[in-house]
Amino acid sequence: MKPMLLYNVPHDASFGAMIALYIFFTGLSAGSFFLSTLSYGFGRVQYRALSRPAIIMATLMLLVAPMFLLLHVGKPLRSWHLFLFVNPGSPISWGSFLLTSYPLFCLIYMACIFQDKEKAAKRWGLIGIPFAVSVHAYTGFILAFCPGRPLWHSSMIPLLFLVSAVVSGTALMILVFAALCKWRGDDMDVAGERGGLLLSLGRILGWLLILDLLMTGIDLLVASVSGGVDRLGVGTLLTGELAPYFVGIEIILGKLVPLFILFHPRLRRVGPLLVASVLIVLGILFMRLDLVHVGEMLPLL
Amino acid sequence: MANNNIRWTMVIDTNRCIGCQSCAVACKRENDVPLGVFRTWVKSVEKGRFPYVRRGHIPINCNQCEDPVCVSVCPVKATYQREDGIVLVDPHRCIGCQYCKAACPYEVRYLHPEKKIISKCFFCHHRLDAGLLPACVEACPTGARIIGDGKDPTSEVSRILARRPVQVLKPEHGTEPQVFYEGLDEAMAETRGRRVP
Repeated sequence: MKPMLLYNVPHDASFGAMIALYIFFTGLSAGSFFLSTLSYGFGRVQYRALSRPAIIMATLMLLVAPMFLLLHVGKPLRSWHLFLFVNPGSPISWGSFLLTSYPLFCLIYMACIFQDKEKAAKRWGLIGIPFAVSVHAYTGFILAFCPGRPLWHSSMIPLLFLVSAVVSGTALMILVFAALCKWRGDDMDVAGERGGLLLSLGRILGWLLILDLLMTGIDLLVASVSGGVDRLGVGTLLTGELAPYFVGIEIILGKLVPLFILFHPRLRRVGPLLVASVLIVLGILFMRLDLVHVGEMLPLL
Repeated sequence: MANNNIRWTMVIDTNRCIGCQSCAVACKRENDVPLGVFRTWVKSVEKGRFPYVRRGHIPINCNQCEDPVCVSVCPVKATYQREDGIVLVDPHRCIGCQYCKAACPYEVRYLHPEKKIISKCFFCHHRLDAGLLPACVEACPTGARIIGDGKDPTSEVSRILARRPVQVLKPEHGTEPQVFYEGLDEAMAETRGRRVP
């Protein structure tokens, strides 16, 4: 006989959709930043045309992201407390300094690119990368530092967040770059320079997506054999209340369908690539929502 | 005031608890706890099949952990531990980010619906400092809750902790709760995914 719960007090979600959206936008920013450094930082000159739109997107997304934090906190006018009373053990404390320093690096790097200062752009791009990594990984640590929550307390989360950041950032840049080409009236034929660039981005995206799927799979597989709440979290995602969003939208629509499109030889065209990119951005958005939500759905006591 | 020669410790005998929620009501009255949130409450669970049944009650409040997760994750050090072990929240410093509420494995913190800052059970430190018992301890009609100095080996809590089998909630997180339970049943301590009806 299973025990029956007669009375308990329900609890509101602590983080909810605002934090999920915040993670989503910092991910887009960090991912775009990596792409913009491919040419200046790592000498992949074939991606030079991407650098300018990518760094603009990285900066814009990072201006949007903290707005969700301000909407989330109870006392937004006390945000200056974060800089005055620092707790080195708290990921949010790390974040308050990362979120102020990273946009500065973005702006310096952007200025170097737009003034065509090759060497300075390389230097600032490479300096910016650890900050882009940290600014996104720290959001993973925020969740990982909550010991009682299903699927949050995992060392995989910060890494998974990094990979999904690059995935969503790449997909976003494909869309932005295609929109730019369309707006300028550029030729987007697959054989041409711009179309070829888009398709090679699609190839990168495909492999990143495989890495993302692998890490998600490993995380869930280990969680499903662990004791305690992690197993319940896996059940909620795979067969429970969140299954339509996790299995349906995040995994099938947001990862498997785009993976098929990206690697199918007959679909190596710009149109399907854009469809895949839209689905991937949607899938990563749901990944953030699902993960934040699954940790807060089950009562802990 | 806070004294580092004292460690406020609570022992709750679940065998004595009758689930009357007097502690929850007394706490609400004493601490002006708003509608919809609680600093302490009693969770009730029923198990077995007639005629072999048992209804168990477990009063829940902040465990005033020795190694509190909430203190280590607070980005502004608004939540801190007094020398006598009580974990407090500075209402003027808290920014309401709710990280402590998310990180607490016992879900005993709440966001004050009007003030938009975090609050929780403080063991009625204002009453303890004045030499009174916490409201919940005083209100309990069956004497299920006992509070005392865990550092004094002759105090009532120390004598119970030394001689009786006690248990804390979720010891696996290493938070070292300072609220101990006698007669804690597995069915009361865990939800196993059952949602509140």
